[in-house]
Amino acid sequence: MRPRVRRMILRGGITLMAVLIVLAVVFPVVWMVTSSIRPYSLLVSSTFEFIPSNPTLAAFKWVFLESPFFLWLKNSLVVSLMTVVLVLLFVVPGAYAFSRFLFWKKESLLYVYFILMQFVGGVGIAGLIALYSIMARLDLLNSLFVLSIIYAAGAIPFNTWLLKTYLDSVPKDFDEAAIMDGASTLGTIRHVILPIAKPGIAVVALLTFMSGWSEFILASTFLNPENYTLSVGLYTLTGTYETPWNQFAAMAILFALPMVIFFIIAQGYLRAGLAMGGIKG
Amino acid sequence: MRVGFKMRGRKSVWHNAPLALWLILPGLLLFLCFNLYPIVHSLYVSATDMNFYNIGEHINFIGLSNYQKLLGDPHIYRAIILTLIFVATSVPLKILAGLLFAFILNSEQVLGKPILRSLSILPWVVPLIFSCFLWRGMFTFDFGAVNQIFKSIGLPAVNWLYDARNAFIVYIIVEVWLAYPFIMTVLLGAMQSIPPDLYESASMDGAGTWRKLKSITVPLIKRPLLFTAILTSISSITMFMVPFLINDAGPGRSNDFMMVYGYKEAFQGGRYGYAAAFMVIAMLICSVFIIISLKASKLTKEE
Repeated sequence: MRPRVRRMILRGGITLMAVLIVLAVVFPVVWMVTSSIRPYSLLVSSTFEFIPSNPTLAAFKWVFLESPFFLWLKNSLVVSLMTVVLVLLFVVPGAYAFSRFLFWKKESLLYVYFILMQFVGGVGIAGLIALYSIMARLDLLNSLFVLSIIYAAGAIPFNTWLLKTYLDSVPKDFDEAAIMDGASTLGTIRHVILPIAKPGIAVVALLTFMSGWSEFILASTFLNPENYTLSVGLYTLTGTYETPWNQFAAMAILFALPMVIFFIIAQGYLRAGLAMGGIKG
Repeated sequence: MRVGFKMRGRKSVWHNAPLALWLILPGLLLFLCFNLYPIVHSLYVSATDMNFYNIGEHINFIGLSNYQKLLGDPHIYRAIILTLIFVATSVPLKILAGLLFAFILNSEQVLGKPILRSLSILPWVVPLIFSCFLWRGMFTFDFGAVNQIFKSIGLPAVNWLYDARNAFIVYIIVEVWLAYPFIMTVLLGAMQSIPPDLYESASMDGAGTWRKLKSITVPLIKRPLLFTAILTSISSITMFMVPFLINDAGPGRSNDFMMVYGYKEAFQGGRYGYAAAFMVIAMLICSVFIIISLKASKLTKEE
């Protein structure tokens, strides 16, 4: 009996510790949510109140009725959807080729591929200055379409890799049979791969949408106020001291909410993909 | 490894490298044009006097004089050193946090792991820009939760965002918070792919928890650990969003990391050519770092 009790106390203690750690990392997000339903007077008061005693939806009312929320939302949707269409057009054939065809050193290339992506994403500012200068000279700044082409270009490597790992798990008997029967490659992709790979393609579409939706740096340097996306709009709110924190929090939450929902949908696939990149130990 | 389906006396339909190239090429070209080419183009911009006034008109080729000017600019040395300090402080903490979460969520002792796992990737789920704004609010002097909690337990409120060193600490905290879910996820995947009978036979041979950790877990997750370490180091070297959004890398220009310095020179100062030259230097520093760490980790070697 003794050792069992001791083991139970140990398990309870460790679990409690784990729960506390996880609560600590989740807390800021919860605080943001509670901020949005807090009356402004409570925000500036010096005492800490986790759950507001008299919650109000006034901040959300401000977002919907008085702020440029819907203009920014429309721009964000336009840019993100155009990006999704472009990405799918380019990624599906590429991923298919990477998954099915055999060529030189595919495995090693995956690492280089990943690192290169991270590198290009990281030195974004260098590329940003050059892109800005090119687009300024071509007079193509302030265009949502140009922006979505740039987003799509940046999203291609990762999504090609992701869809490739998905296609690897789809048996190739069907498309192989189609090709041996003389179907063209593009025809095979359209009529055989698209229907089977729907879940994988859906995840690519979701992730691409998310990347376009939440991009900030390019959008903020390229666009003029009438084309601001939600992320840029939010940023402009932080600069003006007149925007109270509860109103800002309310809009930020509306901005983040679709991402959270999409992520929950895509989560299983994403984890499988990462486990693969899993970079077989 | 998968081997292509082969028919007797005939190559498989999958041995068709030219066709594969045609399928890959359009996407690759788009990526090269809009992502890699601009980086090359910044070499050209760095050799010009492009600035706010002449960007749409005639710009002059001025050779290496931007680079010459950079050598005498004390701000860039500060930016480089500041960035390296950030790498040295944030990367070990990120790895440790990732490892800690992976161990917790892989431990047999912890109950309710699925819920804890879903909650602990939350920082990864919310958009980066949302997270930066959120932490900016958390550390705000008057209504920020951090100071309110400090005050309610009797500690004095701290000026987080308008003090250079405190702000630097805030960046580290935020970057650890942002990065651990990815590291944790990769490491968890690696830990879960370790066959359980390895641990069982080790236990039967009398190995304790520590011994098992040292002789089984760590060697088997070494490759993914190195891989995530390199990726997360790159994100620290090229850090931009966190300082920029939290307090404009301030106060003033006191926390200008390399990328922030380049951005401000270009888009707040209008000195595009000069900024591009510095970004070229920054890219060189990143490349050297990546090459050295890839070589040292032997990651690209196939085992």
